[in-house]
Amino acid sequence: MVVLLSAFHILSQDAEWSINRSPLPEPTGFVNDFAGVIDAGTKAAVEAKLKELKETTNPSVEIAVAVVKTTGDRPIFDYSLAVARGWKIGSKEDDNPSALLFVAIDDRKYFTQVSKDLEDELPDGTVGGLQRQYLVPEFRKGNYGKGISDTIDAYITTIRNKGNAPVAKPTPTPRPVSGGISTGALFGIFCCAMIIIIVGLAILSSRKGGRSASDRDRWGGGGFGGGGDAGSNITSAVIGGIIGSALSGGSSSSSSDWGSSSGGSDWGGFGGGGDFGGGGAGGDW
Amino acid sequence: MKRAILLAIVLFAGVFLSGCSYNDLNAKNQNVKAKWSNVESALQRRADLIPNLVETAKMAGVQEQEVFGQIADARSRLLTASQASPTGADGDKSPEQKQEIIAANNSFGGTIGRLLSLQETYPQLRSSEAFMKVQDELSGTENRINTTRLDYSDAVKDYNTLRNSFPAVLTASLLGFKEQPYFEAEPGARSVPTVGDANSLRRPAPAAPAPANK
Repeated sequence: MVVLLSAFHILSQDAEWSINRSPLPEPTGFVNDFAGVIDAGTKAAVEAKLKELKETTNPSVEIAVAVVKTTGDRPIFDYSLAVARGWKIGSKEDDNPSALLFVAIDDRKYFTQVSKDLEDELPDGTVGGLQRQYLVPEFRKGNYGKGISDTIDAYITTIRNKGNAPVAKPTPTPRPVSGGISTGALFGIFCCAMIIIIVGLAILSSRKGGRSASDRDRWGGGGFGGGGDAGSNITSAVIGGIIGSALSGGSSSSSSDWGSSSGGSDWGGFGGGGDFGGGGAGGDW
Repeated sequence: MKRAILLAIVLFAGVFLSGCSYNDLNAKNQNVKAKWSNVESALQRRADLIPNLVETAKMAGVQEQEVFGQIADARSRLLTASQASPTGADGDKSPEQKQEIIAANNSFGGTIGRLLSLQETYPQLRSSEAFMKVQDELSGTENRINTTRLDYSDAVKDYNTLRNSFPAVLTASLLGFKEQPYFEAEPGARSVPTVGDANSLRRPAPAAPAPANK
């Protein structure tokens, strides 16, 4: 039933465009080249820089790159916003500076989405200026990899200069062991168990109190109804946990080829932020 | 006995209110409020930025008095609407006031699009980095307005759907939860007007308030 529901959910979601859901497949690293215009060396170098930026900043700054052939009928702003929000770039923390450099090669358009917490470091005018300075001239010559690499360098320098200096100890977030039940699920089970115990105690004590049979049936029925709900919650939490770990396991294994090419293999997806409010700038070349 | 009746009333009220989605209504209403405040700050940002861009454009030699005049009118209308003291419950803007702000916003019409395409008509602007940066800021503001508008409309849809469904509609009308207006973009507000067509910006009359979706 749960599977059916979620399948229906996915189907109905696909039918309709939303600025909160990525039209692209899941990311496989910081740099996602769906058009095949960035050479492997440049890609690995940019990956390494972005990984270092994320690990040596506090709050950690997550910058992603996505290159596609075209955005179809969608304006590049709408498309890239959906990608940035759908991929949930940036950490889950309240303070989650992040950005997405998005390029549509055949449309000859680019746009950098900047999350709300990075707008101070990278205001729209600065982003536009840096792209006109570093990205556009190289793109006009067809050097897509260099244009992207130089622009990312400029962003990183700007962010560093604005006071987000390197911190001493990198704090990579530990990934939950796949296959185990997360602490959230454990807590949920604990709560449900408490509720069942309390309801059970209430039923027992009401029986001792010698209520009439009809009263007891009603209360008992209510109690068991609640228990049933709690039970199904546990079931769905467990199923959700299993599905979730299976999915994340799948994505981490599919990203292993990416990891081996750059030397770092701990790609665990973006942080879960996605707090993009429309900041950033773009243009064409 | 009195105490028992009182207890029964309190219990009944608790069950009644939660059973009739009071909590949901409240939560979704709060969400609408939060999203609306984002809309207002995006609109305010635009109002702050426009004089800047107009000045930069004028300094770069742009002569578009008609467009500048229309923008100034729309801007002052927007400021009047958004600075009116709130008349809604809890010191919030009432749905009617929001409607007025939305209408004022739509009275910008295609003028912003015209500002954003000025460098097509005035190629010398391309070499003015100052102008290009202010233009980035302005188009970023337009993007923010559009994004917050969509987020707000999502929240309103969520809230209105619940508010007009049974039994929440009883609770809502009893406790004064009003239907909130959607913020639809004016058709063509984001599209760039045809360059060179002087009439593309002449609009017959200020936009009538968009009807709230019932």
